[in-house]
Amino acid sequence: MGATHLDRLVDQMTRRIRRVAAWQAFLAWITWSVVVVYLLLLAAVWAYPYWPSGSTYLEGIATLCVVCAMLLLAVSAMAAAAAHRNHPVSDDPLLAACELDQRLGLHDRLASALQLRGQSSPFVHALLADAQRHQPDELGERLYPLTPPAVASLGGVLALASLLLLGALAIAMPGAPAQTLQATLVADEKTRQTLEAVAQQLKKLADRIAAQPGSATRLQKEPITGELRKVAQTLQRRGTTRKQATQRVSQGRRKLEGVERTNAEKRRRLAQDLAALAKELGKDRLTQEVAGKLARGKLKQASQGLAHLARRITQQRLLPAEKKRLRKRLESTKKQLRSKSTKDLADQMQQAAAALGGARNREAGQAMAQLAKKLQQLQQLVNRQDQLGRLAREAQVQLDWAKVKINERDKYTSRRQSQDRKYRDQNRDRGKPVRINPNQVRLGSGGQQGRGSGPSKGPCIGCQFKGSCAECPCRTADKDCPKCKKKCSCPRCWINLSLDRKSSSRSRGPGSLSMGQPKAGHGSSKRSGEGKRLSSKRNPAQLKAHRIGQEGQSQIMLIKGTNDKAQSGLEYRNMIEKFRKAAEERIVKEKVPLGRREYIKQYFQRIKPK
Amino acid sequence: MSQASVEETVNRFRQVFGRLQSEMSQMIVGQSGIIRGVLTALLANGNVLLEGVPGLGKTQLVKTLAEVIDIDFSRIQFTPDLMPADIIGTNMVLETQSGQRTFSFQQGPIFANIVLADEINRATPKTQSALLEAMQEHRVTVGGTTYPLDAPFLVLATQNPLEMEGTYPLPEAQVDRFMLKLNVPFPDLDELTLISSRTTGENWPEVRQVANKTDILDMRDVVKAVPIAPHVERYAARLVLATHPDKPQSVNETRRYVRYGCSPRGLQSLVLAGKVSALLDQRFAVSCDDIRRVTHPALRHRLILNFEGEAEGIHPDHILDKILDAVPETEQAVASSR
Repeated sequence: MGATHLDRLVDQMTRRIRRVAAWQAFLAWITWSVVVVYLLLLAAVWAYPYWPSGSTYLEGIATLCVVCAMLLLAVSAMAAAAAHRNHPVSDDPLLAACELDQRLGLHDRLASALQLRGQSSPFVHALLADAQRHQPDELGERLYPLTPPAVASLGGVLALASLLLLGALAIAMPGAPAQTLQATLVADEKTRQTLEAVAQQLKKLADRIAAQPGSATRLQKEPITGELRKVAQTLQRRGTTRKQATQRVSQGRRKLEGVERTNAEKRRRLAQDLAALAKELGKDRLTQEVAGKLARGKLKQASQGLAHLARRITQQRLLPAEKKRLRKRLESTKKQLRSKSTKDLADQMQQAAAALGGARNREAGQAMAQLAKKLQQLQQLVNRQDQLGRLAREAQVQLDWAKVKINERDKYTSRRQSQDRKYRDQNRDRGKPVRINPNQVRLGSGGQQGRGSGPSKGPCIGCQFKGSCAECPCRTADKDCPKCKKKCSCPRCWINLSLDRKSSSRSRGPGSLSMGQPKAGHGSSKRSGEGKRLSSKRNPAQLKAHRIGQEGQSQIMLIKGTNDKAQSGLEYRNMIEKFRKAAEERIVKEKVPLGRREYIKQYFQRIKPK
Repeated sequence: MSQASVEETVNRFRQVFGRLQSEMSQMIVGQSGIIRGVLTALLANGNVLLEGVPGLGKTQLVKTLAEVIDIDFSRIQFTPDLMPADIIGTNMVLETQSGQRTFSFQQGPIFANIVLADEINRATPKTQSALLEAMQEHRVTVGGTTYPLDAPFLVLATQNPLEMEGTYPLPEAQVDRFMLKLNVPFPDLDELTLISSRTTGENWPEVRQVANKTDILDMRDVVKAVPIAPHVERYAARLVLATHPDKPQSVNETRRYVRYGCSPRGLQSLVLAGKVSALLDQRFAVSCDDIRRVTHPALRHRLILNFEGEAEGIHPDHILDKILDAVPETEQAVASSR
């Protein structure tokens, strides 16, 4: 009979179920992975303003795409592994037969035949024949198609939404800084302002350096001032981003570092030559004093010493032995001078030495005088190098400051946040702001002013209008702002309204902020309105503010609280619970007419503590 | 019995069942589900509890059933002063011609093939209990003597759900002995019109006998011979277990609203009624669909609701719907769904 065929069918069905189940598990994994990746993407986009400064949306989106693709790849691999190892369907042929019965509408014919085929009852034979009549010839894939899981559509929608989100961001803000769209629009203006301010600072520094008196001329300061001006021009260029500005400032700083390094190298060589000069001259008693001055860096005094020596040579007041020693000393010293800036000095020493060797005292004296002059010029060179080095360092510090200023993230603050901050600032000196439920605030009508007068000083909450603030909706809830025409509907303004009574035109009640003010009425100084203890009956009351000479209804605040003498409801609740259980047990045991049970239930519901 | 004879037997079963059903429909307008349920209980050797408002034709249904089968029928109107002896019968003292006095058992109305216990909840529990032995074991015991009841034996009880004053709810032991509880629905517009035209004219519809006692007994044998696959049997057992709030197979509604679940008689009723359903569908084994089809009439009267369930007006059919939704056909599906 068809038992073999039935086995084959069931086997096919089992394999098909396994395959479909594995695919469905895989698709479900993928779907949930897409959901997770989408949530990560949203989180990344939301956290974009907090990304490192200088990066743009395009760069960030590219990074996000790479990260998302890697995440999807990794999760897909995990899903494939998990679906392969851990699909939820077992190999039971009964399950496959039941599935076949269900899909073909056979009413368990195949499953019953599979289970009962070993019995020899005539009914079982009839059952097997019946199953054979109804079983399909071949198991087509249409019988058990690969249908995606129910959550797959969600994954598809989210994947599409991710792509749209990324695409929209990439198209809309290719070069925008890493901020949200609203923050970007605000930050662009702030970036421009910041760069302009920094550029002005750098220009001022360049002008100050150029105008600074000293040994260095404007031309000699040009490498520093020129670079500062170029940096400033770059910052002032329209469309310059913070990242470009930072790069340009860093480039300028490197150039100034080069200037300083070159200058420092020259200064170091000059110092080496002067040290060598001092050392050589210090070996002879005749030039020992000059050498001491040179060693201490006092080139002018050393120059004066050399001029004195030159006069002594000219006046022939030196002994031949002294001349000879001086000549040898000059020759040996000349060999120590290697730098470019001391070349003239070496030449003069050569001439002086030659003149001394030829006993030409006059010529030798002139050469020594020239040597003294050169030494004096060397002093100016040293001063100039010191000044340039100092200016270059100062310019570098300024550029470092500029870099910090540029990279100082202007954190975007929404209008609401700025209002919050303003509100905090306004209330800082008044102590901690008190939150009052507007529903429990009763505003009195009419009456005399409690105290205080004049318009408030805060801007409009809708448009920041700082004009006639008495008409601003922040302060008067029933009038429009003359500029933005908005009405104040924010509960925060209500709070402001209730707290800023000293500046509003409404009446004041006892316990309001009237303490110490010129027109203060009677009442407690507490802001929360606990000036007078309300009666324990919790009846709404309207108090009158008593004031010398005048009366009027005032704002009061109703504090609903437990009476001091009230008892705790815990005991009652416990008692009710205990009796409810006892009543239910009793009702279950006894016969209570159906029509009465509803009344019993209602009774217990009504006495149930709230 | 060969395979061909089995198929022939099943066909004959369906034909007789169809004849009975169509003949009863001549007299009873609509109510096809009720007719099918009563015939199912008759062929599955069970008893039926009919619940419905007055005037829906419950008594007429039972009378018609007796007429189409041509078997003994008796009707007992249950009243608060009805005594057990009024149902079962009693020993009476008879005096012979010779003047000798002997006890003679006078049979009560229970000695019939079809017994209509009309408004059964109006009698006291003591009287209601007189039916227990007859319903379950098909015999009665009076004065130490046991009298068997003639087969086929079927008790059809009716009760009115509206009038609660002066009634005695059936004891759980007796309710459990009813194989099916059928709620008689109110007829719709067309059926009402047809009832009016049939019963108020000159010609009262007449029914004819389409089966006899032997046919019914043969059909009962056929029902018993229908096999049931183990997985279907376990499905029915899991349904029964799901009605018990303290069993792991129970569902949330059971745990919340049910005090006691179904007894093993509920499982027997499910399987037997399922066998009849399979035969009527020209199948040779019971399927899970058959079990599901008979779950409500077979189990609804066996669920005993707790106070919360009764106070909130939860109907047992609602709980059974939840159970049918929650219990899968195969146990492996149970493992994978958890």
